[in-house]
Amino acid sequence: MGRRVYSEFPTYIRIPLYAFVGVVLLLLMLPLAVALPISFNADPWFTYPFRALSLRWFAQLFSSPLWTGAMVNSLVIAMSTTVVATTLGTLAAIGLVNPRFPFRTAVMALAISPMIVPVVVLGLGLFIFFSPLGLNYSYAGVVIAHTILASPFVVITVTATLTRFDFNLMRAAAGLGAGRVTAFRTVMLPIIAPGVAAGAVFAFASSFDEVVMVLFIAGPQQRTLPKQMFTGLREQLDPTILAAAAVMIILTSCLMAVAYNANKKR
Amino acid sequence: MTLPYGDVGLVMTQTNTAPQVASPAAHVVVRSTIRRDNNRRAVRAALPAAPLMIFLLLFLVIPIGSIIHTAVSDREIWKALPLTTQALQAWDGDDLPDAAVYMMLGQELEAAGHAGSVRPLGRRMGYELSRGANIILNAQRTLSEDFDRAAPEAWKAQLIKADPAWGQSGVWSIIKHYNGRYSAFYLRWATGFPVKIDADGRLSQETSYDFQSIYLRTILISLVVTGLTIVIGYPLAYVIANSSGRTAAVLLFFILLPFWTSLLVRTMSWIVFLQTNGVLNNALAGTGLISEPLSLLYTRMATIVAMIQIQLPFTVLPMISVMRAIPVNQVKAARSLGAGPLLAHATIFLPQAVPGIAAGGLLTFVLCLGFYLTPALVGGPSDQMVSFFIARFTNEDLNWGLASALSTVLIFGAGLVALPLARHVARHSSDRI
Repeated sequence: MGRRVYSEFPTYIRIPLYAFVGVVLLLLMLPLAVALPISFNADPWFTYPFRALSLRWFAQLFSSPLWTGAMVNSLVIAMSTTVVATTLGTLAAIGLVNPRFPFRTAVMALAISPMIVPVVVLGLGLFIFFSPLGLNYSYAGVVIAHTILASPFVVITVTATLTRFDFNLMRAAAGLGAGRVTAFRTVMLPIIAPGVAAGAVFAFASSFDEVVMVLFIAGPQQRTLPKQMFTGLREQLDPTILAAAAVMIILTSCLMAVAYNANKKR
Repeated sequence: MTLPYGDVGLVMTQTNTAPQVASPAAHVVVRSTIRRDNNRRAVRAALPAAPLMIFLLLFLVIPIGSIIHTAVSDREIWKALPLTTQALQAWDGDDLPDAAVYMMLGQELEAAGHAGSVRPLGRRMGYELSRGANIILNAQRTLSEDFDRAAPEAWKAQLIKADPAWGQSGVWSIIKHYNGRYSAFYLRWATGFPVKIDADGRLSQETSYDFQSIYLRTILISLVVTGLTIVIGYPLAYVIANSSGRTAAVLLFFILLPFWTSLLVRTMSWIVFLQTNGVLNNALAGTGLISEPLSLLYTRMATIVAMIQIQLPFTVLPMISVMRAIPVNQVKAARSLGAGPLLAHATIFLPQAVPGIAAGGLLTFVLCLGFYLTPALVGGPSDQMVSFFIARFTNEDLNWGLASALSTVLIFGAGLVALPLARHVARHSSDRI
């Protein structure tokens, strides 16, 4: 850090500054770091210290049909969402990096607008729109709703990857006689695959975590893990919810780590 | 960025056609060929994005359009009582309508009973008239009794016997007012105008939702959260922007961690942390600092703290990218010319970081306006924001008109605040963010 001598603050400012940053980062982590270990508490209390450790809440999570059904629903919905959102989002990103794209800024703004528009408003709009179509209380309806929320993640991630992609490779492929689809499949897709994978992971995580759309669109048949947790948080806080949260965090962290490593290898 | 592959063709077209440019007529032909070519290329460029665009049009643009449509649709009264509404247009509103109108209303109510549209009518009347649903249902019930159906006066007597409200002007003035499919009723309600009247036509004293204070509360909470995330986030962004390599990566990892962990799980962790028998209260009691547990959960404080934790990355990231682009030499120059470290920072560094602060703050403010989950779970009844009421009117009260009107106010309000500011921010921040 020697290169910044003159621009840096003297020690009497730097120490409180670093202390402040440290405290803020600690406070950011504290609730999670404190709450998650409670899922291993043998007693149904939400306090420390524990009298004994146990996996009973995890056992309950994986044996109760209410929770396992919710987990299966979440996985099915999140995987379907990932497939649809990744396909639509990747194709859209390929179009959007082309400078010839008409009204590119406006279309890009539309593509990422689901991140800004309040989810409750999107949920109400879909609920009204779906009711004559019979899509409320259906898996298809929930997947559509989640795809709306997940597609901006894919568009942003893949667009970022494509700005580093050398489009001369596509010309070379075209010069060697490959059609657009063949060139995409054999040249572009393998190169941008880590970006697409990262987008897919974000799409999966956003759907796996989503509860507001589910509250609007889903029926009892589509009860997902976050919905089950939300109901529990509002009615009766029970350590099984913490076990479910731990499972959710572990699953999404693993996926994030895979995507991160795939991107680092490039 | 390298040029996409589609450009090869244009170069070839131009070289192919260039030698033919001899006469003005040929020139025009070439130019229109090029234009056609360009259009075709634009369509081909847009083609891969078409599936997502169609998807968003169907499931984002049209649903938001249908929210606005639902907010101004108001057809229950007109649909159930079309002839009565029309006949009442001639009524001056001072005395009671003619007995013939009573008869017409009675017959239309009977027909509506068969068509199953009395219940929606009653509910709609109840939104605007105290006891409105009862007034309609009482009238419908009494019409099945035996009375002289040929005489208009008998209809009138029967209705007034069913409910004295039919002998007053309030209910009639409402029926008169809704002679079409659309009205501003839900929007007036959602913007906080008093809409409910009593049977005598005067404004009802019944307390209802105070939407204006709900909007104020939404804006206030969002402003406080935005201000605090800027104050907390600025030193954070400064330290991250000025550290290098591994330190910066680790700090960024901690900032981004909330991005990666479920919003629901983070909100849940605040509940576990703050509740009456929760970790914090027990720790405080254990150290002897408090004897009674503090009520920390379900407060404005808990809502704001949890929202800050969620929003901090959104505020900090734009700040970091702007701060990284600020040349170090300028601060050095100021220091070497004798400015103290804080003065150099405040006069040289801070003004250049403003675009990042503005972008991060604006993003956080707009996102805060739509918060639902966090206030619903860690806030008390007086901390709920607009989104909470939209969800409640949709899922519990089934009042889609009011929910849609609130949504319309929310998106137009947020758009009115955000768009000019966003343009201003974009103009002053170049393409660094």
